[in-house]
Amino acid sequence: MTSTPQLQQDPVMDRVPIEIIEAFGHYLNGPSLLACIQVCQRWHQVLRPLLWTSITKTQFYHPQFPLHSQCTPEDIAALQKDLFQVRHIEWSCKATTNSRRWQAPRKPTMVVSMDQLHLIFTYTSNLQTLTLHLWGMDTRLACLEALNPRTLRRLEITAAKEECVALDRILPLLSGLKELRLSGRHSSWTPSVSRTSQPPPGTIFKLTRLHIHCLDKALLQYCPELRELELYWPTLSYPHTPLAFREILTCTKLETLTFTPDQGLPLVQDLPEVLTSLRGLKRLTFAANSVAEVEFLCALDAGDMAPQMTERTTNGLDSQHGRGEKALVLPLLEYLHITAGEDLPTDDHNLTRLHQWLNLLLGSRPALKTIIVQDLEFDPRELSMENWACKDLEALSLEFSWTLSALPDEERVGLWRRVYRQIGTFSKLKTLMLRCAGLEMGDDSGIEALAGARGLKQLALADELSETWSRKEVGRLLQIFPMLTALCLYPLLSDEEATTWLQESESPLELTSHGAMMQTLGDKTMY
Amino acid sequence: MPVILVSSDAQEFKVDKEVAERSILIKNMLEDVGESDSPIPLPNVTAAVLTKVIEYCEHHRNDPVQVPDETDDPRKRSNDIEEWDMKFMQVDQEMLFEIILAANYLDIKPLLDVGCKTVANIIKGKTPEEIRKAFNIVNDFTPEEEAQIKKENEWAEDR
Repeated sequence: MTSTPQLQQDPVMDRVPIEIIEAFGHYLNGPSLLACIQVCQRWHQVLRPLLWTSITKTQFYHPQFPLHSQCTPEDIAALQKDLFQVRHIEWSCKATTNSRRWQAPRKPTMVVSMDQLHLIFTYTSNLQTLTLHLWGMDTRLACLEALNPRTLRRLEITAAKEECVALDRILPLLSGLKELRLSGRHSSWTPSVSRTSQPPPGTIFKLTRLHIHCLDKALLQYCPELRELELYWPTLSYPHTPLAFREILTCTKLETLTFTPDQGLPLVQDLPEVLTSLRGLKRLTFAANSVAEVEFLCALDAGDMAPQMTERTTNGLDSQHGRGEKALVLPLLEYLHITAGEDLPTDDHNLTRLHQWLNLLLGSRPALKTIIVQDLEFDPRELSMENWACKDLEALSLEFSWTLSALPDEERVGLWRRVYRQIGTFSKLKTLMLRCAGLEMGDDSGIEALAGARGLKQLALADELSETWSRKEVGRLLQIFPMLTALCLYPLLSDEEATTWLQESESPLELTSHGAMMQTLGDKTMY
Repeated sequence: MPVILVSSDAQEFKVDKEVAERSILIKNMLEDVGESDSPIPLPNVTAAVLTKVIEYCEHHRNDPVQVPDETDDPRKRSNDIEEWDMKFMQVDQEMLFEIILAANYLDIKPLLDVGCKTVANIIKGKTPEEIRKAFNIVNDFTPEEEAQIKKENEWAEDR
C-alpha cells in the first residue's frame, strides 16, 4: 500500500480492465484457471471462457465434462458460447461395433457419434488446431466438413489400425493450414490426391510443415512455403515400385526432410538428383538403398553427380577443391541421419566405398553438427578420424564392425586408444552413441582421452559381445563425464542394479534406452 | 532529439526519442505532431510508475520490433522471462499492476507481456483464498456459489 500515489483512492485491482485479466489468463494452466474463477465474480466472468480454450483428451474422459455420449443436439447447442472459445482440440477416438460411434480407448462409456462430433465442430468456429487419434475408425470422417477452414491452422490425424485418412477429405481445409500430419498403417492404398480431386492448376497452399504418406507426394507441388517435410512409407505389403520425387522440387524453402527412418524408403529413382536441388536443406534423415544414394553428399555442386565421385580419392578432392563448404551439395547441411536400407549391398567393394564416403563426408563438411549412421558397421582402422573437419560436432552415433572382437588384445586396445583420442577432440560433443563388439574399457584403453568432450550430456555404449558392465567401469565413466544426464549401457546384468549404483554414487543421471536417446536427437533438431 | 514526457503529477522526464518510441502510443503521437519540442502529457501515469517504465524502455531500446505472430501454441508459456526483466518486475504488487496498466495505456506490448507472465507466475499453485490475499481482492461469492463453480468446472483441472 505504501507505494500507492495519494491521488488514487481505488485499489489498483479495481482499475485493471478485463482485457488485462484475460491477458494473464492466457498464461495459466487448467488448475490455476480453476482457482482463479473462484476468486470473485469479475474474474469468474472474464476467465471462465478461457477454460474452454484448449480441450485435451483428459477433459473428454472426465465424468463431469459437459460433452459426452448422452448429449442431445440441444445440449450441444446450449454450449454454443463455450464452444466458440475453443481453439485447440486433442482427442483419441475408438469405433465400437457400430463404426459410427466413437469411444475413448479404455473408457467404454465414453462414446460420441460422428453426428455429435459434426455438431461440435460446427460450433467450434474458432478452432485453430485439431489432433485426432483414431482407433479402427471409419475414416470417411464426414465431421471434418464442419471445420472452419478460415481458422484451422494445424491438423493431425493418426489412424492406429489398418486405415488412413484419405487426403482428398482434407483438401477443402488445406487453403488455411500451416501444418498437416496424417499417418496410419494400412494394407491397401491408392494415392489419395487422385486426378479427379486434384486442386486446380496454380493452387498454392501455405503449409510449412507436412507429414504424409510417400504416395501422396503429388501434394508437394502446391506447397512452395514448406519448411519441414516428413514422408512415411509403411513397409507392409507394398510392391517395390520405384518412385520419383520430382514434386519436391517445388519446395525450395525446405530445411528439414525426413523419410521416417524406421519404416524404410521405397526405391527412389531420383533421390540424389532431387536432394541435390534442395539447397536450403539443413536436416536430412533417410534410408539409403544403394551406395550412390549416400555418395552424392560428398559431391560438388556443379551438377556432377555421384557416379563420378566414386573415382576420386579423399586426397584428390581435398587438394583440388579445398574444403570450401559452398562447393558441396547441400551447403547448409547440419544434421544427417542415415539408415542402411535393406537393399543396400554390403559386400567388400561397397564397404570400401562406404568407408571412403564417411571419411570424405566428415573431412569436407565443417558445418555438420549431428551425424547418425544406423545399421552400417564401420571398421575404425579404415576411418581417418584425424581428418574429420566437423569440429563443431554435437552428436555422433556410429556402429563398429564385429570383426574387431577377433583382433589380438594388444591390437584392439591400440585401436580403441586411437578412437577415444579422436572423439575426445570434439570439444562441443553433447551426445555420443557407439555400438560395437569388443569395446575396451580397461585401464590401458585410453578411455580417459574422451574427457576432451567434457560437456558430454548423453552417452550410449553398447558392446554386443563383452561381459556385463561392472560397477567399477560405470564409476569410471561418471568421473570422466561430470555433466552426463543420460546413460545407456549394454549389456547390464540388471537395470535395477545399475540404477542403485548411480543412486549410491549420488549421481543425478538417469539410465535410458538407446531408442529414447535417439529420439532426443530427433526432437532437438526438429524444433 | 530528446522528448519530454510529463507524468500525471506534473513531473517532466527527458528521454531519447528512440527510448520513448518503445511506446507505440508516443510513437504515433510524435508521427502525428511531426517535429516539435512541446512536452507530451501522460495523464494516466504517475512519476513513480513512469520512472520504472522509462527504465524498462532504456534497457530494451535496441530490441527488434516484435512481430505479431499467429501463434499455434495452445498455451502461452510464462517461464521464459529474461533474467533482467525478472529482476525488474520484483516490485510490490501495487506497482506491478501500475506498470501493467501503464504498459497497456502506452501500448508497450513486450512490457505488458512480461507483466502478465509475472502475474501468472504469482497465481500458479495458489488456492482461491491465497490469490485473493495476494491481490487484495474481496470475495463476493457465497460459499455455496464458490463450491458450485468448483464442481461445475472440475473437468478443467487436468490440463
